[in-house]
Amino acid sequence: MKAKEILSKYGIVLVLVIMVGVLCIVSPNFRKPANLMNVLLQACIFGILALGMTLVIIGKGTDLAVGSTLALCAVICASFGQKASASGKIFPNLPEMPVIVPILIALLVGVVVGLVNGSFIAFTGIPAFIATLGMQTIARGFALLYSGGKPVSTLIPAFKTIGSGRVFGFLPVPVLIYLICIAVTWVLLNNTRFGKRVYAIGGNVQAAEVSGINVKKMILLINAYMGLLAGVAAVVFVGRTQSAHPGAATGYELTAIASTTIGGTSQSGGIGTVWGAVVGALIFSVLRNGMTILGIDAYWQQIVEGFVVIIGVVIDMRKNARKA
Amino acid sequence: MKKSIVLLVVVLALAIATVAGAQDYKIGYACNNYNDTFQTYIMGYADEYAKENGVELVLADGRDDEMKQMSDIENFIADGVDALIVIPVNPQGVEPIIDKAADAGIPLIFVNRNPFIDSETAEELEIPEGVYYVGSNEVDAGNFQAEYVVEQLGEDAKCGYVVLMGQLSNTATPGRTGGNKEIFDQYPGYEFLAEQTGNWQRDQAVTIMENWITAYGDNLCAVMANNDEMALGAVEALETAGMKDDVIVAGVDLIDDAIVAIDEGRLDFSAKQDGQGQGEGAVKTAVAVLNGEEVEKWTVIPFIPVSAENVADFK
Amino acid sequence: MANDEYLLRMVDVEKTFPGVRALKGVNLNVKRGEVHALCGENGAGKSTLMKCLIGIQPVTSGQIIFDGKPISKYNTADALNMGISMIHQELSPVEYRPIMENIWLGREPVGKFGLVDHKKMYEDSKQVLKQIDLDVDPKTLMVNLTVAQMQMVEIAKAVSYNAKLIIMDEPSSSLTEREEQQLFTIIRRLKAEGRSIIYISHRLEEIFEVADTVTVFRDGTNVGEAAVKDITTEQLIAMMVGRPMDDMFPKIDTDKEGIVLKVEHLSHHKYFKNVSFEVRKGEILGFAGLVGAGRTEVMETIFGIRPHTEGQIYLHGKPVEIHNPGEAINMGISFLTEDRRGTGIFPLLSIDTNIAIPNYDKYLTKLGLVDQKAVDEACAKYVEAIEIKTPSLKQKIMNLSGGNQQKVLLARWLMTEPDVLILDEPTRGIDVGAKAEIYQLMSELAAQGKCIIMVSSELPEVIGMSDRIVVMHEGKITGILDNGPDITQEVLMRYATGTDDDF
Repeated sequence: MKAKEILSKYGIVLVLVIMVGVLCIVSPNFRKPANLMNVLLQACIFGILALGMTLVIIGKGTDLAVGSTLALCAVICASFGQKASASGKIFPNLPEMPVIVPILIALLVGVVVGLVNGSFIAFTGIPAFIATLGMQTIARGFALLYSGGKPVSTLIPAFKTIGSGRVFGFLPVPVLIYLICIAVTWVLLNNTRFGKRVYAIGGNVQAAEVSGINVKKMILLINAYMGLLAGVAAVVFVGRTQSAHPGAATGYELTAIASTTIGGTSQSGGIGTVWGAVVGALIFSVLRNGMTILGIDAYWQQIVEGFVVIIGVVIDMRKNARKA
Repeated sequence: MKKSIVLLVVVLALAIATVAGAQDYKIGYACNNYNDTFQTYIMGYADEYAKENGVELVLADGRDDEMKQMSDIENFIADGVDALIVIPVNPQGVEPIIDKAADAGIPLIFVNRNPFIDSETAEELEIPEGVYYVGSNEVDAGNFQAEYVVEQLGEDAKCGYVVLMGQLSNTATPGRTGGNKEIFDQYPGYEFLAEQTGNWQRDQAVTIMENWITAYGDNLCAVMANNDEMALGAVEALETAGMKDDVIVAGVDLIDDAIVAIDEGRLDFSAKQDGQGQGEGAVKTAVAVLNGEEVEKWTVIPFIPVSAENVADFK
Repeated sequence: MANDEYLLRMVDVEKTFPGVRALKGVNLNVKRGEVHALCGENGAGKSTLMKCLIGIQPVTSGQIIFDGKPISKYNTADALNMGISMIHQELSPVEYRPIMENIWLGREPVGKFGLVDHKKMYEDSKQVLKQIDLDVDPKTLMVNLTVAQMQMVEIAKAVSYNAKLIIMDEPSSSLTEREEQQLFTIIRRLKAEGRSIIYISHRLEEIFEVADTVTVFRDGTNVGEAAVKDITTEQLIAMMVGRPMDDMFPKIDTDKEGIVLKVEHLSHHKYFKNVSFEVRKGEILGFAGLVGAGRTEVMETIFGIRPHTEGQIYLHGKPVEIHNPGEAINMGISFLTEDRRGTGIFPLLSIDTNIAIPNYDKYLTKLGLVDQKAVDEACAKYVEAIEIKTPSLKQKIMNLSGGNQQKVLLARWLMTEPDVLILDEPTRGIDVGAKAEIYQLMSELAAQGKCIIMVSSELPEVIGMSDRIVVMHEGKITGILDNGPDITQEVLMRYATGTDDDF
């Protein structure tokens, strides 16, 4: 009974451990420390998005616009971080900015997009699915418009530090940023009134209203936080690719939703954990890294990823069914 | 629960079984996107050539996502490849790729999409140490397309043309488009009507072409498409509108569909992008560098003009 | 057919879930053509037994004999075909499809080419609906029906299966008095046709009105069976709780000093007009009236859920404007809503979160984070004080019985330390034992000086607990009565129906 409970609660962690274990045994290249760090590094961007997505989905929402929000944040961020000598600059007369400027701008743009999403949902009453589906195209359109459809590149060297710098000689900066996001989101969800209210809204929105919770404000805040994390992810993205492409991060919302879902966040709201989102993102990252290293055909990789999402959700549903 | 875990393990085990045995050189081939038909041809030729020559080629699909490609390259390096062949998703953002290859101390060969052309000025840039490019001169393809039109209609013809562009981030796009204009600008009768990006995709080209037919109608006499997929999209739209006979459509790449279409008289022209030359050239370059031979920084694989006259040679 | 008298016999039925023995050897005998009531506290095993009977869950051991034949290992579809139908408490119709498709769901009549024969379906539906006197066009969409009509459709469906045994789980819980009478008429007719009815209910009056036999459940087993005509309400209650209930309504005398809440000429363009009343410290003010009289809407307005068009609310003598529940809570008003599942509990969340949700402001660390330890301590205090039965504070509230859920919600509102506690149908859908505990708690709270407004449709409860009683009829107050020996259910009904009107 006890073992069964642990299995049902931490089953998905077990899947991750088994995956890593099997890969370590069969592939000497996988188990190299440098590669294991790669796995973490490659989980960062959709991992950060999955954190925000967890909040959104617990609150019974969804965000189909995170991919294009990321792209919009990225091109605007990069445009303020170009070298003075870059050709085809968005702002030809802009002097080189200290790196904090493009970073703050990226975060700000993310928050604004999130607030717009939240306003659509809170004040018009349209479902989050529709509001963010619209925003998916709108944000992508703004990204293309802003950049003229072309990538923004030739960035100041500080972005290189963000993308490939190491702290203490081993910890990649993006992983550090991811860890900070995990910690902040964890505290936010577990130790603040805001977090408790997110669960409450997802669990029973009417009861939440009666309990004195300002639901509209909460929806705005939840979406703003998602936008903020999209901005953070955009900064990491720009750092990693040293450029920003308006077509970037297409489909990332689905990876983020899938990671969240594998991690046990219920699409019907009210259930979900931060560690679940982290484990979900890691499973994706391990899968992609491992399959490439094993030389598995790329077409098969996509098929396997799809199955993993379904299996993950099946495990999750069984877990919840047992409790009900 | 247990079943799902078993399933996962089986999937992984199957995957392991497909890994080929070790060979002399192991080279990572990071394709930009398996949905890009022509790129899969180049990859196929590269793979075939590698197998014949005892080189192990590891393949990855960038899914048109630079972050995915970045991860693929990191994974290749972790896997200990001896060299990297990359078709960049974003040719204007290859610095991190170059850095990673340099850190790993392995040669890097870009293929087909040239990162070393300035996207604004179309000037050639310097290629760094340990990095090579194998591909065509994109301007040639544009020139060939426009020259074919002039040859068919005459130097004094009055003719409006449109350009279906590839992705704007791709340096082939300004190269080919510029090549078109370079020729047409020499003849005052040829008027530039419009250009728009179809992102290399056939379906997007159909929509754009339908709109152009509405907008320009009879003024239209030539469609210059940056690739065959989009050219075939234009052909479909023109056929639906009953205008195909009045408009010359030219593509680039000479994919299989294009050969058939030229043979049937639906498509007028294509500049054959020599996929075989590029794919084989990429592997050849990598092996030569690994063997310590002297190698050109830029291996030019020329385009070949193909129309109804010579299409039989390519079937 | 040896046991011809009995349509259904369930013998020594046991059902165990991992870790729980839900049914410990239950026996139930239902005669042909009788209405057999099942009653007992929530969690006594009635629902589990019915789930086993209709094939949702298999029994662990024991025997089920239906219509003279032992039956086992069947699913709900088999049960339907054998003639066992169940009308669930919460109906789940296919809302945007017509009545007829709902009746024949899963066994639509087909004609040539395997296409659905809508004409036959229509005619057959008409036939069945006529049998139960429901005069609605079978093409009407389910969503346009009242709850009572939907229930009738369910009964029609049972009839269409030619059910020999129809199980009704709390069928009257969402019906008006008139609809309830219609239901009883139908039940009597079904009985006259020789069908048997198993009638599950919390409302003892109903059992005495409609049932022939009653079986009482407690702790997963049947503790008694009796012919309804042979027993009294008191005896039945005693059977249910296992002890005599000599004092259901424990009133404590309190000092009623000082008006805390005063409402003047409160109006809403749709639901109520010119409502004025006041509540004093230590007072329990009952609100009686029929469903739809506007009582809940008045309370929702006071609590800031609904806007009012006219009138003024005073707290401690000062005029206040309340725009949302948050403001109401801050001013010391709490509101236990009537719809526990809809607007009360957060089913997936733990008990402590359910209690603390409007109260986190009081338990913050210096950094503004939630002080979970303090929250747990405070919650534990309330759980103990009002005797919420749960193994742990971290238990999900949905795993508790209805009565305990209600107590958790009471704890939630008590923790806000309100001056005015509004309780809307505080004992709806909970068992007799829990009811008594909630009455006890209300009395204690009044004794502590809280003022309590209790909206209730159960007249005995209103009479038993209130100091004064406001009666509403169609959005207007028809009487504000001092409670006393002369206040009977009949008196209240006269005001509630508008026959008497003091204003």
